[in-house]
Amino acid sequence: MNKSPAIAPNLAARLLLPNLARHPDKIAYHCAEESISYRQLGEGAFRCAGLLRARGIGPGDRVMLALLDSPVFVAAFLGITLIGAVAVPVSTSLTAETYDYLLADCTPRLLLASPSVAAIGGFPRNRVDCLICGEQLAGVWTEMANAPIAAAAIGEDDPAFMLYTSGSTGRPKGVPHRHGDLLEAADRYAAQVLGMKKEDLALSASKLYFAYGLGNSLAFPLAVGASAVLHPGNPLPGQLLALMARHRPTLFFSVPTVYAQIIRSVDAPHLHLPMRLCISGGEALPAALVEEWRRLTGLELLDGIGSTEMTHNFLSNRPGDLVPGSAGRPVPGYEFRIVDDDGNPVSAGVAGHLLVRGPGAALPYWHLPEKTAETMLADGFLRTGDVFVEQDGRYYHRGRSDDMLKVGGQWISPVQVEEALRNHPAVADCAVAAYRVGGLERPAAHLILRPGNTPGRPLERELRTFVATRLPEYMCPLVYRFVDDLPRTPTGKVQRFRLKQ
Amino acid sequence: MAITIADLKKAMLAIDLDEEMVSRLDPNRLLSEQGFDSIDYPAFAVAVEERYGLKISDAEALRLKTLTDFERCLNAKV
Repeated sequence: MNKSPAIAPNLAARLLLPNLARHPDKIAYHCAEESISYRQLGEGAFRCAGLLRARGIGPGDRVMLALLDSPVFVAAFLGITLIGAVAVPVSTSLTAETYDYLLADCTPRLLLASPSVAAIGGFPRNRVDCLICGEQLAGVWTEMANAPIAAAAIGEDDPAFMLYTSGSTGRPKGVPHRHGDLLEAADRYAAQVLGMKKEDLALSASKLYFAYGLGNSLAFPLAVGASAVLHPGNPLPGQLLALMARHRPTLFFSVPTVYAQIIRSVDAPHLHLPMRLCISGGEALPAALVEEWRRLTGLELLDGIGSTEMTHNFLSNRPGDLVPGSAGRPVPGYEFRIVDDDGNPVSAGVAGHLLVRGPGAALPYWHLPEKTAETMLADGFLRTGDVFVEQDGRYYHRGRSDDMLKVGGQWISPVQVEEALRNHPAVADCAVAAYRVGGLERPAAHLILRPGNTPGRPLERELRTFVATRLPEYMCPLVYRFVDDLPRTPTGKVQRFRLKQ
Repeated sequence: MAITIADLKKAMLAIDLDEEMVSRLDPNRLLSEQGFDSIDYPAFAVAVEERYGLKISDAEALRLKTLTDFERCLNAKV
């Protein structure tokens, strides 16, 4: 492959080596019953790098990770990027079909998978060399030596990692990122906005395979020499509160849906938490949630917005400078435009499509030149797909430019859900739109039935069961509405925005 | 007509929440501690809004943690 001249830092070297020099015996990660020092993390990364090299894997080659959150994930990510290969973290709760799609799309040389992922019925083991890895660092890649491996030289445009994000058709899009992109986020957002320092201890309920979690639990703590807690399991409120009590994190990162669940799981009038900062991302944060969190914990809940394409947050509230219901102010280094449908800047205080330009912007989408041209403009601005209003330097989210939903921090493509529903013999046509309950969005299905089918709970039950076998739980509609028609344009195109509740 | 705990439990059954879980619900204990998961809560809130034609505000949604909370809140609106 064409390599740009070596003028960029190697992400793994930049995250590991200063810590090995400064405080090798400091604990980098707590996970379940393990506490891993920087030295042990480095050794794990070197063992992984050595293993990859032994298999002939080198710069530019993709290595997919389908791993639960643990020091093994971190060491693998570092080992892969150390040798100039491309780490491709993917969710651990996808369907076999989706894994198959992703494997065919990015053609990795190797897949590192947690046992639970490999055990999924129909998992396409034949598509790729697969290494099953548990969560304990001491137990993995033990045939390799702990000896340091030199970091590969990196060109400015060489990809370090690639994340997948959902598109409007539901087909995942590969979003490649340079080595420098996570470092920019660590500097601009973690250090400059959050004031993150080596004394901090981070806990992110959002997993490492999300751009949000990858920054929160991997890039940020390592970049500043701090520590983090990793939780392989689901982010249940009781477990999160237990981790907070046990490890006393100073920073907690999650999504509004989880904050709401935590609030509802507590009946005491006050909750004493060890954090100095609580951060929210992934979906719109209702003002009521900010206020209730403050009432219950005395802590500010800092909303911000970012994207997989921009690596991490480009807008954020700050400690002491928070307006509930706003996404905050620009993170240093990011420029914005709010434009109308024709691309012209709107007047002050008018809602429009948000464009952003700044460090950490992705390389072109993986093998998707048309999508790239639509989203990544020639002048370096990116279409976020979000509608915003700006007032006095603060930005307020007003919805999406497209019909995509964000539920629990995860994208839902209405097209994908509608396709699943249309496979049911009773469904003639349908549209999926957002339904707001408690200030948070959930998907609602609006269905036109074929003649001879009766609307009602029995059919609804049947549809729920039908959809549950075809889609992940978070994509399944919360509400079903049987309708006679759907709102359409004169040309017959369904107007989902008119179905929003 | 006042909305009772029994009415609310009927509403839960009508949306197919687990029968055993519903029958054992202690109205004064946190729903989240009695098997109510992250999907059950919004499903129940929507069902209640529709059944009684009432709107639960964002702030209220965060404070309705037990069945008794729901009972009190809804009856204050009716």
